[in-house]
Amino acid sequence: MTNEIAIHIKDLHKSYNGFTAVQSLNFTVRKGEIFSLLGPNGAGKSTTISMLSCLLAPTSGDALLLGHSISKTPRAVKEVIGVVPQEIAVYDDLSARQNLIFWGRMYGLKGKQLARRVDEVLDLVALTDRQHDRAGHYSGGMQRRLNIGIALLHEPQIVIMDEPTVGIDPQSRRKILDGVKELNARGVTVLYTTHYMEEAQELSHRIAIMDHGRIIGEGTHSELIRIVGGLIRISLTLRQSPGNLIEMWRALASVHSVSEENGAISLLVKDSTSILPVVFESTARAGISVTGMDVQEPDLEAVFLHLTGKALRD
Amino acid sequence: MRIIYLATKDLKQILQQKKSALFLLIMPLLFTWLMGIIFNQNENHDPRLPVGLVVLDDGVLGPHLRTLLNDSDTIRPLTPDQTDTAFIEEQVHSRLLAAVVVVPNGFSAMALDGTMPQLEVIVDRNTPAGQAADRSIQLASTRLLGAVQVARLSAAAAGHSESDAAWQAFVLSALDEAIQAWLNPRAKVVVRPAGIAASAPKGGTQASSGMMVFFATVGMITPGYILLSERHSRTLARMMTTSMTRAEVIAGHVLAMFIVCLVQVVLLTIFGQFIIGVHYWHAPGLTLLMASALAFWSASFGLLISSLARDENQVVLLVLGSTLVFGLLGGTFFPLELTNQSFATIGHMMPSAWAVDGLQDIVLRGSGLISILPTVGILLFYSTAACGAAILLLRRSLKN
Repeated sequence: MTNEIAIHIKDLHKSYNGFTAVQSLNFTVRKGEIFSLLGPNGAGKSTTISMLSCLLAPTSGDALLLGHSISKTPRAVKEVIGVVPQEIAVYDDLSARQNLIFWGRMYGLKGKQLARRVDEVLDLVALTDRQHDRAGHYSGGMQRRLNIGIALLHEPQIVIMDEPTVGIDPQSRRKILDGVKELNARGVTVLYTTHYMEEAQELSHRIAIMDHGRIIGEGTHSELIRIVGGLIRISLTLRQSPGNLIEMWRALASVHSVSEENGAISLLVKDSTSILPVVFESTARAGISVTGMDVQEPDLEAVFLHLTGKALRD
Repeated sequence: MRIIYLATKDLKQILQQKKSALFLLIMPLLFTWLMGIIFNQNENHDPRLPVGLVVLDDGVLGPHLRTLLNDSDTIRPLTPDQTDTAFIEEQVHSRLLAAVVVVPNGFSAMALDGTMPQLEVIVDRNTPAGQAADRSIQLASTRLLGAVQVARLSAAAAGHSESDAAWQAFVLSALDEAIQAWLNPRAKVVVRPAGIAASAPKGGTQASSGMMVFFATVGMITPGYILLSERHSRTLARMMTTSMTRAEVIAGHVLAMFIVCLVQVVLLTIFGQFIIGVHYWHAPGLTLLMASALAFWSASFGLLISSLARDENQVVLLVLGSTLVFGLLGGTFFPLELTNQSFATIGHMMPSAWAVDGLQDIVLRGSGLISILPTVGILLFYSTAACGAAILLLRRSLKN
């Protein structure tokens, strides 16, 4: 990753028929970076991707991809990007190889270069063995991989991925996430949209959280976590009444707060490693059995909740 | 080059569809053959108006009049079952006969004596058939009496007087010759465009050209599916993320549809030429030009349908619905020449009418390039309009 800018979005705005899908979007993505747009459905992620892919003209503002403007030089933009659409945009009645050959030609590849890239991409998306089967006969995961492979044919410097793991099994998702990392390791800049916080957390160098067409938080994972103070939640279920344990725990220096609701006790702590032995020791000494325990590290869900007042998956 | 790759991909997909063979080849060939049989059966029937001929005269002019009436393009003489006036009038009234000509007793004798006898014609002049029959009867009657007059003058010129024994023989012989002259004139003005297809069966020509135009648009069902599925699967939108321009993408799809239709039309003209006997290929350049104009119209129509339709059922519905309207109004099932002026005018608002006209102009009327160009121009106009509408719809579809 370098400090050079790959994507520079400036006051991007899109509205149709009185509805504002994206408003005053500003962010930059550095070359070689994986940048994720995280947000619930309808947050404006796909509209943003459509504008960056030159499928939609912005109502106002502009974006520069490797210095090319989506408004003024869309053709130049299209030559440096590979777009993985949310839908599986492949031809079901053609084989993987036929699909790749066709799309390679659409990207301007020909001859030996085309044949080489088709073989490389088939290998990359692990479809070499099934390359002659019709895409319509593939599993969802294989179709998703082909969908991604098509966007990589012309070796774009920027790959834009719009929720590429929607509706697939965990194994296929793992392959795709590993593939994105491998791609990035080769120096490709990736703009990735998702509503799965785990993906954004695992893949991204930086994350922008979107809601209602706006970015409400942006930074690295740890920067975002700091927004909610970095507190860890320990949830305990006890067989007996806690008695004066709650007051005792509140008095501990590393405990931020303790609350009890419907028999479950929640401790917000800065460091779970040091506090958990104390909790177990004190319950044992008081003769109280712990029947359930859950430790929740601070996550993007909590950040989203903190910023919007609602859960990411709502 | 990418336009060709896109068209090639579309063609590959079209050929993979099982429906393609049905809509593009099997149905057109079957219907052309069936319609050819239906039209040819009608051709064996004498279409001329039936006119009753009652000869009460026992002279020579009755048979001559029958010959002249039979020579008409409009009427054909029949002998009524009965000769009484009430029966004859009923036949005309009920339109079983367009008219009845009665040759009165003594008609031949009076005509040969130089007096001008009158034929009795029973006709309803309020009907178009009655008017047409009346005109043809008047023409035959004038020719008959003219021939008698010519025979009499010839006899006089030859120095025969009516009192001579040889006069009657001379007049009858001259009358025969004059009648033959009407039947086989030495000089004749034929108001008919010169065309080699005078020998081709008219029914076959109508069936072949009509079905060709009809199925050129029906054949757009499968290509329509292809573009529709591109819209639905978002491959069309994906194509717009490559550096291909919108014009290139549309041109690629239109090219595939154009090729499909052109190949279909060419195959149908070959079928028409060798199986139905319609001489499409006496002017191959013109036939190819018309086939190309028809193919371009069909491709534009296919593009419009696939931009309008929301699912496969709508493609079928829109293609068949509009093709039936084009076909029924535009003369693909029956010649517009057989319809009245208003219907023919409305029919010519349909591109199909112009396409049928163009093909028949080449085959039936032997028209040249200059005559065909306006028809080609009108088809191009319709094609451009359809393409323009389709592009607007596709732009909207890509934005959603």
